[in-house]
Amino acid sequence: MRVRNIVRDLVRVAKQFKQILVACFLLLPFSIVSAQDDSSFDPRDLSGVWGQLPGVGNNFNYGMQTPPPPLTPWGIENLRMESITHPAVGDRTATTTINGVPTNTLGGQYPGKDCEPVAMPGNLDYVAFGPFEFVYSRSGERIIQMLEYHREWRNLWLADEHPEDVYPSYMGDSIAYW
Amino acid sequence: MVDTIGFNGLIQLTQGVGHRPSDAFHLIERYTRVSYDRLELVMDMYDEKAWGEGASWSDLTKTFALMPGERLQEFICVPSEYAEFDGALEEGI
Repeated sequence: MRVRNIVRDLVRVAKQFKQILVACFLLLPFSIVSAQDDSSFDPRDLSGVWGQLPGVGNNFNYGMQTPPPPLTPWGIENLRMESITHPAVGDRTATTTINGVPTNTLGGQYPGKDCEPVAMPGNLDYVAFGPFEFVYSRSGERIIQMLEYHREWRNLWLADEHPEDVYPSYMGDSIAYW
Repeated sequence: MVDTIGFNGLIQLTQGVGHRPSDAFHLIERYTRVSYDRLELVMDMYDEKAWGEGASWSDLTKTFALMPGERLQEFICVPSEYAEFDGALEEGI
Protein backbone atom coordinates (compact mmCIF):
# COMPACT_ATOMS: atom_id res chain seq x y z
CA MET A 1 0.00 0.00 0.00
CA ARG A 2 2.80 2.40 0.92
CA VAL A 3 4.67 1.69 -2.31
CA ARG A 4 1.49 2.23 -4.28
CA ASN A 5 1.03 5.66 -2.68
CA ILE A 6 4.60 6.60 -3.47
CA VAL A 7 4.14 5.59 -7.09
CA ARG A 8 0.91 7.55 -7.27
CA ASP A 9 2.63 10.64 -5.88
CA LEU A 10 5.47 10.28 -8.36
CA VAL A 11 3.02 9.99 -11.24
CA ARG A 12 1.20 13.10 -10.03
CA VAL A 13 4.44 15.08 -9.77
CA ALA A 14 5.47 13.89 -13.22
CA LYS A 15 2.12 15.03 -14.64
CA GLN A 16 2.50 18.45 -13.02
CA PHE A 17 6.06 18.74 -14.35
CA LYS A 18 4.81 17.85 -17.81
CA GLN A 19 2.10 20.51 -17.57
CA ILE A 20 4.71 23.08 -16.54
CA LEU A 21 6.92 22.08 -19.47
CA VAL A 22 4.02 22.39 -21.90
CA ALA A 23 3.10 25.81 -20.47
CA CYS A 24 6.70 27.01 -20.79
CA PHE A 25 6.82 25.77 -24.36
CA LEU A 26 3.60 27.55 -25.24
CA LEU A 27 4.69 30.82 -23.62
CA LEU A 28 8.17 30.79 -25.14
CA PRO A 29 7.26 32.68 -28.34
CA PHE A 30 5.53 35.42 -26.35
CA SER A 31 8.53 35.86 -24.09
CA ILE A 32 10.78 36.20 -27.15
CA VAL A 33 8.46 38.77 -28.76
CA SER A 34 8.19 40.64 -25.48
CA ALA A 35 11.95 40.80 -25.17
CA GLN A 36 12.19 42.14 -28.72
CA ASP A 37 9.45 44.66 -28.05
CA ASP A 38 11.21 46.15 -25.07
CA SER A 39 14.76 46.36 -26.28
CA SER A 40 15.21 46.11 -30.02
CA PHE A 41 13.04 48.86 -31.52
CA ASP A 42 14.63 51.79 -33.30
CA PRO A 43 13.21 55.03 -31.82
CA ARG A 44 13.71 56.71 -35.21
CA ASP A 45 11.73 54.08 -37.06
CA LEU A 46 8.11 55.17 -36.98
CA SER A 47 7.00 52.79 -39.71
CA GLY A 48 3.90 50.76 -39.08
CA VAL A 49 0.25 51.40 -38.45
CA TRP A 50 -0.57 53.54 -35.43
CA GLY A 51 -4.01 53.85 -33.96
CA GLN A 52 -6.12 54.67 -31.02
CA LEU A 53 -4.72 54.05 -27.57
CA PRO A 54 -6.76 51.29 -25.90
CA GLY A 55 -9.25 52.65 -23.42
CA VAL A 56 -9.48 56.15 -24.87
CA GLY A 57 -12.84 55.54 -26.52
CA ASN A 58 -14.26 57.79 -29.19
CA ASN A 59 -13.10 60.99 -27.55
CA PHE A 60 -12.48 63.00 -30.70
CA ASN A 61 -10.07 65.61 -29.48
CA TYR A 62 -8.56 63.95 -26.46
CA GLY A 63 -5.30 65.56 -25.48
CA MET A 64 -6.53 68.91 -26.77
CA GLN A 65 -8.76 69.89 -23.89
CA THR A 66 -6.96 73.17 -23.32
CA PRO A 67 -8.89 75.84 -25.23
CA PRO A 68 -7.07 77.70 -28.01
CA PRO A 69 -6.18 81.38 -27.57
CA PRO A 70 -9.05 83.82 -28.20
CA LEU A 71 -9.49 85.04 -31.74
CA THR A 72 -8.27 88.41 -32.89
CA PRO A 73 -10.91 90.84 -34.24
CA TRP A 74 -9.89 89.77 -37.75
CA GLY A 75 -10.26 86.14 -36.74
CA ILE A 76 -13.74 86.71 -35.31
CA GLU A 77 -14.73 88.38 -38.56
CA ASN A 78 -13.28 85.77 -40.88
CA LEU A 79 -12.68 82.43 -39.18
CA ARG A 80 -15.63 81.63 -36.94
CA MET A 81 -17.86 78.78 -38.00
CA GLU A 82 -21.62 78.82 -37.63
CA SER A 83 -21.79 75.40 -36.13
CA ILE A 84 -19.27 72.72 -35.53
CA THR A 85 -18.60 69.10 -34.71
CA HIS A 86 -20.73 66.12 -35.47
CA PRO A 87 -24.34 65.00 -34.94
CA ALA A 88 -23.02 62.08 -32.93
CA VAL A 89 -21.89 64.56 -30.28
CA GLY A 90 -25.43 65.72 -29.67
CA ASP A 91 -26.95 69.19 -29.49
CA ARG A 92 -24.80 71.49 -27.37
CA THR A 93 -26.02 74.86 -28.52
CA ALA A 94 -26.18 76.02 -24.90
CA THR A 95 -22.41 75.67 -24.61
CA THR A 96 -20.14 78.05 -26.43
CA THR A 97 -16.45 78.17 -27.16
CA ILE A 98 -14.08 80.83 -25.91
CA ASN A 99 -15.08 82.86 -28.99
CA GLY A 100 -18.81 82.54 -28.45
CA VAL A 101 -19.45 79.80 -31.00
CA PRO A 102 -21.92 77.03 -30.04
CA THR A 103 -19.89 73.89 -29.47
CA ASN A 104 -22.28 71.85 -31.56
CA THR A 105 -25.41 72.40 -33.60
CA LEU A 106 -27.23 69.46 -35.08
CA GLY A 107 -27.05 69.43 -38.83
CA GLY A 108 -24.14 71.82 -38.71
CA GLN A 109 -20.73 71.89 -40.19
CA TYR A 110 -17.90 69.67 -39.15
CA PRO A 111 -14.53 68.76 -40.62
CA GLY A 112 -14.93 66.96 -43.89
CA LYS A 113 -18.73 66.96 -43.90
CA ASP A 114 -18.96 67.33 -47.66
CA CYS A 115 -15.87 65.24 -48.30
CA GLU A 116 -13.57 68.23 -48.40
CA PRO A 117 -10.13 67.42 -46.97
CA VAL A 118 -9.93 67.30 -43.21
CA ALA A 119 -6.14 67.70 -43.30
CA MET A 120 -3.96 68.17 -40.26
CA PRO A 121 -4.29 68.33 -37.36
CA GLY A 122 -8.05 67.68 -37.57
CA ASN A 123 -7.63 64.27 -39.17
CA LEU A 124 -6.00 62.99 -35.99
CA ASP A 125 -9.39 63.41 -34.30
CA TYR A 126 -10.51 60.38 -36.25
CA VAL A 127 -7.74 57.98 -35.37
CA ALA A 128 -10.29 56.14 -33.26
CA PHE A 129 -11.89 55.09 -36.54
CA GLY A 130 -9.06 55.23 -39.00
CA PRO A 131 -5.44 54.76 -37.97
CA PHE A 132 -2.48 56.23 -39.83
CA GLU A 133 0.70 54.75 -41.17
CA PHE A 134 4.17 56.10 -41.74
CA VAL A 135 5.71 54.88 -44.97
CA TYR A 136 9.34 55.62 -45.79
CA SER A 137 10.01 56.36 -49.42
CA ARG A 138 12.71 54.42 -51.18
CA SER A 139 14.49 57.59 -52.21
CA GLY A 140 14.96 58.45 -48.57
CA GLU A 141 13.98 62.06 -49.18
CA ARG A 142 10.63 61.93 -47.53
CA ILE A 143 8.33 60.13 -45.15
CA ILE A 144 4.77 59.65 -46.31
CA GLN A 145 2.07 59.77 -43.70
CA MET A 146 -1.00 57.85 -44.81
CA LEU A 147 -4.24 58.68 -43.02
CA GLU A 148 -7.03 56.16 -43.36
CA TYR A 149 -9.83 58.62 -42.69
CA HIS A 150 -10.79 60.26 -46.00
CA ARG A 151 -7.81 58.48 -47.60
CA GLU A 152 -5.57 61.49 -47.04
CA TRP A 153 -1.79 61.53 -47.17
CA ARG A 154 1.00 64.04 -46.91
CA ASN A 155 4.72 64.28 -47.59
CA LEU A 156 7.13 64.98 -44.76
CA TRP A 157 10.19 66.20 -46.64
CA LEU A 158 13.48 65.46 -44.95
CA ALA A 159 14.84 68.96 -45.45
CA ASP A 160 16.12 71.83 -43.36
CA GLU A 161 14.04 74.63 -44.81
CA HIS A 162 10.75 75.23 -46.54
CA PRO A 163 10.82 76.36 -50.17
CA GLU A 164 10.60 80.11 -50.61
CA ASP A 165 7.50 79.89 -52.78
CA VAL A 166 5.17 77.55 -50.90
CA TYR A 167 1.90 77.10 -52.75
CA PRO A 168 -1.03 77.23 -50.27
CA SER A 169 -2.68 73.87 -49.87
CA TYR A 170 -4.82 71.80 -47.51
CA MET A 171 -1.86 69.86 -46.13
CA GLY A 172 0.67 72.68 -46.42
CA ASP A 173 4.40 72.14 -46.80
CA SER A 174 5.96 69.87 -44.19
CA ILE A 175 9.63 69.45 -43.44
CA ALA A 176 10.81 66.79 -41.02
CA TYR A 177 14.04 66.36 -39.13
CA TRP A 178 15.34 64.61 -36.03
CA MET B 1 9.91 66.98 -35.61
CA VAL B 2 7.56 68.03 -38.39
CA ASP B 3 7.22 71.71 -39.24
CA THR B 4 4.32 72.66 -41.51
CA ILE B 5 3.39 75.99 -43.09
CA GLY B 6 1.64 76.94 -46.32
CA PHE B 7 -1.90 75.98 -45.38
CA ASN B 8 -4.72 77.38 -47.47
CA GLY B 9 -6.97 78.53 -44.62
CA LEU B 10 -9.72 76.06 -45.53
CA ILE B 11 -8.93 73.25 -43.11
CA GLN B 12 -10.44 72.51 -39.74
CA LEU B 13 -8.42 72.68 -36.56
CA THR B 14 -10.16 70.03 -34.51
CA GLN B 15 -13.59 69.10 -33.26
CA GLY B 16 -15.20 71.60 -30.94
CA VAL B 17 -12.91 74.58 -31.49
CA GLY B 18 -15.37 76.66 -33.48
CA HIS B 19 -13.09 78.33 -35.97
CA ARG B 20 -10.74 77.56 -38.80
CA PRO B 21 -7.07 78.44 -38.80
CA SER B 22 -5.98 81.11 -41.26
CA ASP B 23 -3.46 80.71 -44.07
CA ALA B 24 -0.82 81.85 -41.56
CA PHE B 25 -1.30 78.68 -39.53
CA HIS B 26 1.95 77.07 -38.43
CA LEU B 27 1.92 73.53 -37.04
CA ILE B 28 4.81 71.89 -35.23
CA GLU B 29 4.58 68.20 -34.37
CA ARG B 30 7.08 66.36 -32.22
CA TYR B 31 6.78 62.58 -32.57
CA THR B 32 8.57 60.40 -30.03
CA ARG B 33 8.50 56.64 -30.07
CA VAL B 34 8.56 56.19 -26.33
CA SER B 35 8.43 52.38 -26.47
CA TYR B 36 8.04 49.60 -28.98
CA ASP B 37 4.29 50.05 -29.25
CA ARG B 38 3.67 53.63 -28.14
CA LEU B 39 4.06 56.84 -30.13
CA GLU B 40 3.70 60.17 -28.45
CA LEU B 41 2.83 63.34 -30.34
CA VAL B 42 3.13 66.83 -28.89
CA MET B 43 1.78 69.66 -31.03
CA ASP B 44 2.35 73.39 -30.92
CA MET B 45 0.23 75.67 -33.10
CA TYR B 46 0.75 79.28 -34.09
CA ASP B 47 -1.48 81.57 -36.12
CA GLU B 48 -0.77 85.27 -35.93
CA LYS B 49 -3.83 86.19 -37.98
CA ALA B 50 -6.20 84.11 -35.86
CA TRP B 51 -4.67 84.44 -32.41
CA GLY B 52 -2.24 87.31 -32.69
CA GLU B 53 1.51 87.55 -32.92
CA GLY B 54 3.34 85.39 -30.41
CA ALA B 55 0.20 83.56 -29.27
CA SER B 56 0.26 79.79 -29.41
CA TRP B 57 -1.84 76.76 -28.64
CA SER B 58 0.81 74.51 -27.18
CA ASP B 59 1.67 71.20 -25.57
CA LEU B 60 -1.27 69.34 -27.05
CA THR B 61 -0.48 65.68 -26.56
CA LYS B 62 -1.79 62.52 -28.17
CA THR B 63 -0.50 58.99 -27.69
CA PHE B 64 -0.95 56.29 -30.30
CA ALA B 65 -0.62 52.52 -30.14
CA LEU B 66 1.22 50.36 -32.65
CA MET B 67 -1.17 48.00 -34.40
CA PRO B 68 0.88 45.06 -35.70
CA GLY B 69 -0.79 43.26 -38.58
CA GLU B 70 -3.29 46.07 -39.12
CA ARG B 71 -3.90 47.26 -42.67
CA LEU B 72 -5.35 50.62 -43.57
CA GLN B 73 -8.84 50.17 -44.95
CA GLU B 74 -10.24 51.72 -48.08
CA PHE B 75 -12.14 54.77 -46.96
CA ILE B 76 -13.98 56.61 -49.68
CA CYS B 77 -15.95 59.67 -48.70
CA VAL B 78 -19.34 59.79 -50.45
CA PRO B 79 -21.46 62.88 -49.59
CA SER B 80 -24.78 61.07 -50.01
CA GLU B 81 -23.69 58.35 -47.59
CA TYR B 82 -22.55 60.97 -45.10
CA ALA B 83 -25.90 62.74 -45.32
CA GLU B 84 -27.74 59.48 -44.76
CA PHE B 85 -25.54 58.64 -41.77
CA ASP B 86 -25.95 62.08 -40.21
CA GLY B 87 -29.70 62.02 -40.80
CA ALA B 88 -29.99 58.70 -39.01
CA LEU B 89 -28.00 60.08 -36.08
CA GLU B 90 -30.13 63.20 -35.81
CA GLU B 91 -33.33 61.16 -35.89
CA GLY B 92 -31.95 58.98 -33.15
CA ILE B 93 -31.08 61.96 -31.00
